[in-house]
Amino acid sequence: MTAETGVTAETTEAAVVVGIGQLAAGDDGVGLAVARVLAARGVETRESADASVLLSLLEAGRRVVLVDAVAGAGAPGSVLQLDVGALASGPTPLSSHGIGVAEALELARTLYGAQSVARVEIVGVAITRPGGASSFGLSPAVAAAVEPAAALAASLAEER
Amino acid sequence: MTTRTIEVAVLARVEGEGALTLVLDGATVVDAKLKLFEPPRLFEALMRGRACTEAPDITARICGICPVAYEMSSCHAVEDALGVSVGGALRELRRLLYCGEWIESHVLHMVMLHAPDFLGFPDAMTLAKHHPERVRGSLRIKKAGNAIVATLGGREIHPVNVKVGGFYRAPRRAELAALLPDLRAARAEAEETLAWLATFEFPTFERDYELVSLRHPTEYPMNEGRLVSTKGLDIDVHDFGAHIHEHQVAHSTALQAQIVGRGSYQSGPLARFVQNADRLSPGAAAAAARVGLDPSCRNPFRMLLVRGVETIYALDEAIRIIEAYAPPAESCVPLVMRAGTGHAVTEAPRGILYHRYVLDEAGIVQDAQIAPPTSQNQRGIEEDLLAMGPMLASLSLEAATRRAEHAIRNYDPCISCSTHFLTLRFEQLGTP
Repeated sequence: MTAETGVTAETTEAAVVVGIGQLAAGDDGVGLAVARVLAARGVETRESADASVLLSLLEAGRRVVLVDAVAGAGAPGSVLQLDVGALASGPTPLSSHGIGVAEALELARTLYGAQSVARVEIVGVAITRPGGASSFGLSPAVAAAVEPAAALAASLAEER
Repeated sequence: MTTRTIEVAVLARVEGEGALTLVLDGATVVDAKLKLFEPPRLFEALMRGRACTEAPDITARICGICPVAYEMSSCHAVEDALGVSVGGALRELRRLLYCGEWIESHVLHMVMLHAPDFLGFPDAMTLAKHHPERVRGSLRIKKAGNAIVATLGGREIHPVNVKVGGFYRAPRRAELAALLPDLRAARAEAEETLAWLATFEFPTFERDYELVSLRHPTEYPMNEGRLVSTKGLDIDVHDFGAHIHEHQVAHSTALQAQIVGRGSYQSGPLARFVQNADRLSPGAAAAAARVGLDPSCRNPFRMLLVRGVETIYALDEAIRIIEAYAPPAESCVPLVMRAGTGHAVTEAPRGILYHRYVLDEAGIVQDAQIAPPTSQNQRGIEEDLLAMGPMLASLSLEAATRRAEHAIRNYDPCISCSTHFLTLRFEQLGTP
């Protein structure tokens, strides 16, 4: 291997930031809010109500920073960097519909190999579990977490 | 003979929330209740007082799997009330959008939701471990369908580019042409998928169904046609209400439907295929023949294969429309509000979707009726289960439960779509 190709191999492409959530489920929409903030700053983003969007990105070999609401992970508004491997036993990111994050990652591991999932990083924002009624908008504590979560996601997504 | 009860508290691998209770007395099913307990959605009441031009955007929210169907039925019904006709390239674009939805909905159901039943796997995750190439292929087919909806509809879920009279913006030719390589690759994958599905073992079961679908003079039906059945129904969609009645049952938040004077009926892929096999593309017709499907089929388990054939058809049709596409001069036809009643039936992936709107002179909706395919199919699904007694009697309780769930999933039920209705009854305390 030449020195040049060695340098290339150490460079990582910029990641896609994927916001997961439901706007009509109150604080569950925080992942989408973070994605919208970053899209306005020119970051490549996707928004989805469920995690199926991950599969096509990981099949294409993309690096992904996932932003999702997390229930039972501390005070609402806490911003966490979660380990992919800890998903099954740790706090469960919420998905009110469709395929969940843990399921999508397990499916990607099966279909596209462990290396595909190694390219995923997760930013969680702690929320209280949404109630049954629909509601739009974030609570003040979770709204205050959008900017720090966006900053963390942007730093993880940066080309390096 | 002993009595056995099959209880499935929450049905898996269906869209929405439902349950099943089946009581078997020996080889006879004495009671079958498909309980759709998802809370009512009340969309018909929500439409009252809204502008008719809002109908596609509001009713699309009924379903994240088949929003295009709601957009198409609502547009056609409102246009019918306003005396507007959409033709030429705009009509072709609507058909292309529907192809996208059929592709993504059918392939999701066939491979991720229904195939595990045939192979004895508990879920799609286990299926993926045993057949990763098939699951990878199905995801690529689905992606090609999603790309049509995203390009033409503005986004993959709940597309925003559809409006009464046409579209907000018609795509450029190059935008659609960019979809062709993935669609052609998906076409080849769909053939392989169907060949794989055809290797499954299909339970022996038939019923003397009344199969109901649209029938168009020249096309495999999507947006237009007369409503016809295998037992002689042949009506204009304006007469839907005179021939098909909906009624409430105690165990479901979805209405059930029946043909007046006859009873239950089934709509969906099998009904479409049986009555329109002569309208398939040559490639889809050849695919049907290769897997042994012909219009005499009355086995609902083989609807899996019909979905495979319809996926191939939708890919053929999408490629044909894109190759011939010339952008329209205007992205929509002009609308003039007037009072009237409009009706439409279109073919959602799961079956016929009927919309009726009554408008006042300003185009405000005074009354709305929406009859989704799953509520229309619901009674027939229960009748399938009632007729499955001999098959279920020979199985263990666990295997019989799996087979009953399998039979429900033949119809790819979309429970969230179906549960839109609720009659509230107020009783005055102290009144005798």
